[in-house]
This record gives sequence, structure tokens and C-alpha cells, in this order.
Amino acid sequence: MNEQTVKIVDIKKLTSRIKSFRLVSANGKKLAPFSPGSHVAVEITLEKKVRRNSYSLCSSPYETDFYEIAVLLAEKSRGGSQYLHQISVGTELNIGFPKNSFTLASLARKHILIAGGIGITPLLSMLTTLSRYQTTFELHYTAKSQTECAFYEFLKQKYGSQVTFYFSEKDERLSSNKILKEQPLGTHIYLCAPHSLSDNFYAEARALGYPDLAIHREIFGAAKTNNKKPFTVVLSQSGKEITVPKDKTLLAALETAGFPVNYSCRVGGCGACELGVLAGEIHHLDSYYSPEERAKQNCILSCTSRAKSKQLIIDL
Amino acid sequence: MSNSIEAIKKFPFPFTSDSYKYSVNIQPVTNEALFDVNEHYNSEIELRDRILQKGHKGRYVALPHMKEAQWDTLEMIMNDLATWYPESFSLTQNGDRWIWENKKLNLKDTFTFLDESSLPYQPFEYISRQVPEDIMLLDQREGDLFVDAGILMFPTLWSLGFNAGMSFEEIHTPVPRAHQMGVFKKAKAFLMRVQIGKPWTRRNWTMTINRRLETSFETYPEWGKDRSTVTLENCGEKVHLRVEVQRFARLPRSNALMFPIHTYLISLNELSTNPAWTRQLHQVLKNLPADLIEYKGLSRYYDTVLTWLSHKHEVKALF
Repeated sequence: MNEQTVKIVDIKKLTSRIKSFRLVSANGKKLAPFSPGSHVAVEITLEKKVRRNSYSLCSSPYETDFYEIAVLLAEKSRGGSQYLHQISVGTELNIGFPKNSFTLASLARKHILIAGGIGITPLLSMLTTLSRYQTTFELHYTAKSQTECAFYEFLKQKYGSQVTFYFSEKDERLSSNKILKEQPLGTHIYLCAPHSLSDNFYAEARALGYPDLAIHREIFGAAKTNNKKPFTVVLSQSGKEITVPKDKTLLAALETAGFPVNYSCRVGGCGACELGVLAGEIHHLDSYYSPEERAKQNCILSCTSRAKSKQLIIDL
Repeated sequence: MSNSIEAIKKFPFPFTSDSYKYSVNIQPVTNEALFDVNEHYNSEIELRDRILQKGHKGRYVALPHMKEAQWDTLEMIMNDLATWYPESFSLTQNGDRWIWENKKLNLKDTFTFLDESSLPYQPFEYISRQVPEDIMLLDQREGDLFVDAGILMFPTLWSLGFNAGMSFEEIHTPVPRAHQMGVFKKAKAFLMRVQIGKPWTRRNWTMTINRRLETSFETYPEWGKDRSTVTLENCGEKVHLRVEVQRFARLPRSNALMFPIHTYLISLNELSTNPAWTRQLHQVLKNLPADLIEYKGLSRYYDTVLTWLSHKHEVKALF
């Protein structure tokens, strides 16, 4: 994946654990424009292993001479965020074309954006578009404290009363009920927050009667499963058998074995890496399928989901 | 206005096997233009202009929320034409100030990107008047695709007035067989995942009597009757294979899907200069199920065409 080559021209420390990076084209080609809510895959090579981390584009969709991403130094970093936190201005990176699995609903009458911590990142480009078209929106943004709240000054200055901050250190809590009830028909909700907060808003919105299609979720970090087991897959077309070790995804194992699969978000949210399953029991770990679709046990998102049985036969 | 030998050689013959199967049959576009500027460019642009002069109803539509998609389309088409046909088109970008030159139409305009008032038409209308392709813009929202903008001059028996605002599956309701096969569900899922910088293409076909590009519902009284005029004697001249080369490209800022359709016509006489094509078209038509013959509107001249092709085929085989 070297769809775009970029060079870091500026690094800012936004909080103790979040850094932002300004990226410009490194080869004279124009950067691809993008839609609000988009992310790019950033290729990071560590100890000869290539990994791809997805980061939301925080910059304006109307100014694509540069991209900006913000990276949280993960507590249990697999090395990706640690690497980005160490590099300096001038470093070149290979990145993918922008992809979007968290789009603004074009016909929504009002948009409610909920951000938890680093979850603010995909919402920033949405805000640019919403304010450009003067669409009604509210942003509710929770962080540990004001100093740990990335883009605090920027948001306050630019969007004023349309933004409400909640600092957990001061015991300020978002009330999903208070925020979601008594909103006009045609309101859409965008959730980019840790699982617990996101789930809470989702459940509240459903209970209040929001249609499923009016609730949009961006998943950052795939669902954690503590005891990942290795399994094997058999490719039905060639009969080839591939082992998926416990620390590797099915998608990555297939890539290593020379069977590249289409992908986009790599955290089980977009459906791009779907594969048909002919036999075996699937352990669904994605946030893409409905319960009905899961029960059918006939397809798998290879970036996150695994096998309950020892083996899966996949249609590839 | 027939095809030159060169155009016949380049004709996008749609079949790769002897039996016609419904499938998504979609291929990546690599290293070629999305829009085709060929020997028919000026005559087709003039024809499109004449049709549009009679009124926009059923020909051009752009719902208000498609503004971003309109500019996306303008940007993508200008870049495509300037890249692939630099002798005829050029685009100069100084920040938001853009200069567009179309030498084929003797036109040079300076405008401000994203400022609609700087163009004589809406951005989508402005640029789509300069390409021979029909273009649909599909908004992607709520797990579906909606035809929320489009320009349509050369339809094959469908109507923008009727289809505008419809979802993907609603539009395809009249197509026989494919629904049962789940083709549209899969096609839709595929289209929703088309990525920036990775366009796709597929070919669709039918037949048309006379070299007529405009075959809409609205003008059926003008051309429908031509279908009963086919004889063995005039078949080669009158009957045309009609191929739509469709493209699918993700529009980057709006996340909408651009779906340009280029329509090509080739008479059976022209087509039969290639014996392999003659043989394959004959086989495909012979194997075509009855409901598809009806859906494609071939019923009235189907037998005549088969006979004509089999003669051609046999005559070639004799020599």
C-alpha cells in the first residue's frame, strides 16, 4: 500500500498523550480530497513487520494541501502509536487513500455529535462541513480534564455555544437521556467514544425511538477479546491451509500468505473485508453485522472476527 | 453518421462467452480515461444540447443536498479530460481560481471553485454538458444509494423523471431474474464500498433500431414503431448493437458515487466485419432466455436478426 506518500511538516503536542501531525505530499502529487468523517491507513514498519493503523483526518475537507491526524499514545500500544510519538518532522510515511465508514447523513435536519477522548478526531472534519452549510449541530465532548482535552481552545473559539465539554475529573457526566430527548424529528447521532459510552448512547437513542439508521457509530479499537486462540482456515478454491496465530488477524494472516483481501477500517466497522464462510463456527467480534446476519454463520469480517471451531472453510 | 474503421476496432464488444449470464461482471479501471472523447464527440454534444434545449424535465436533476457531489464531479471530469486528452482540454488551478479550456467546443472559462455564482450553470450541468456520457450521481446514506442527481439524454428505455430519488433496488425492480439471484443486493453492497482512486467499469447491452441514441420512455412514440420495420434485407443497416460502458467512481468530498454511462452503437453490418464478434453475438442471442428477449425489447425482430447473423456466419464459414 503506497497509494500516497507524505512527509511530516509539523508535530504538535496537544495533551500529555496526544500529538497531532501535519502531512503534505512528498512526491508532488496532490493529496486526495476526502469527505467528513474519513480516515487513512498509515503504514508503520517495526522490526520488519508492516502494520497499518487507521487514523481519522482532522483537517478541513476544503483544504487538501495538507492532512492532519491526531494520535493517542495507546496504553497497550502494539508499537504503532509509540512509533508515531517518537518520530520527527521530515519523516516520510506511506498512507492509503481516504476511506469513510462514518459519513454525515446528507438529509439529516440536525446532527448530534458525541465525542469521548480521542474520539473527537473524525468529528472535526464533520464540524467543518456542518458549519460551512450552516446545518444545526451540537457537539458533546468528554475528556478527563481541560488539559487532556485535545482541540479544546480551537473548538471553544470556533464553535462557541454549539460545544459542551464534560470533564470527568470535575465529575461532569454526559446524560444521554438529557441530550437525546426532545430533539426534532430527523436528528442524527454520531458516536465516537469508548465502547461503554457509545453503547450507553446507542441504547438510550433506541429506547427513545431513534431509527437505527439515524445512529452512526465510529469504532476505534476493535472489541477486546482476552483469550484469542489460534485457528486454521482452508481456502475452498485452492485447498490451501493457513494458520492464524493468536496474535494475528485472519486478514493479516491472509495478506502474509499472499492472499490480499479488500479492506478499509480494519476494526470491524465497515464490512470491506467480508469473506464467505462455508464451514466452521464463527466468533463474530465486529460491530458491522446484525444479530440475524451473525446467526446465519455464513460470512466473516476477516479484520477482527475469528473462529470458535478449530477450522473455518472460507470461500476464497 | 456511422463508425470509422478505427471506431469499429475500438468498439467495446460486451461478450466474453457464448452464453449471456447475469453477473455483476465488474472490472477495475486501470490506466485509462473515465470519459471517452472520440470521433462522435462534437456531434453527440450538439445532439445533447438540442435535447436539453427542449427543457430540463426528465433530463437533468440535482437535488439540493448534492451540491458537494456537483463540485466533486466537475473536478473529477476536468482532471480526467485534461490528463487523457491534453491536446483538447486544459485545467489551470491557482488556488480556488480555476481556468478551464475546452478546445473542442471553443470554450475558455475562469471560475472560482466552490462558488456557484462564478459559473454560467450549476457545476454539474456545466461540466456534464461537455461530455457525451450520461451521468448519475448516487448519494450514499442510511445503508443505501439514491439517484439524487443525474443528466440523461441517451437512456435505454428508462426515465430520470421516474427514477430520480429512488433507491438502488427500487430502480432495478423491472429487471427480470436478477432479484431472485440476489444480484442487486450484492451489486449494491459492492458499489457502497467503491473507494477513492479505485474506479470500476462494466458493460451492459441491448439492441436499437437505427442509429438512435435517444430512446427514452418519453419519446417512445417517435422510435417504438421502428422495431417493426426490420427485414432480412435492411437488418444489417438498421439493427444496432447498443453497448453501455458504465463506470463507478467514488467522489471524494461528498462520498457520493459517480456513475457515468457512455453509449456506443454499431450496426450489424459494421459489426460483421469482425467474424469472431458475428459468431459470438449469434450464439449469445440464440441462448438468450425468453424473458430477457422481452425485457430488452428484442421480440419483434429477434428471429430476423438470428437468421441474418446465421447467414453471415455461414457465408463467412464457406470462404
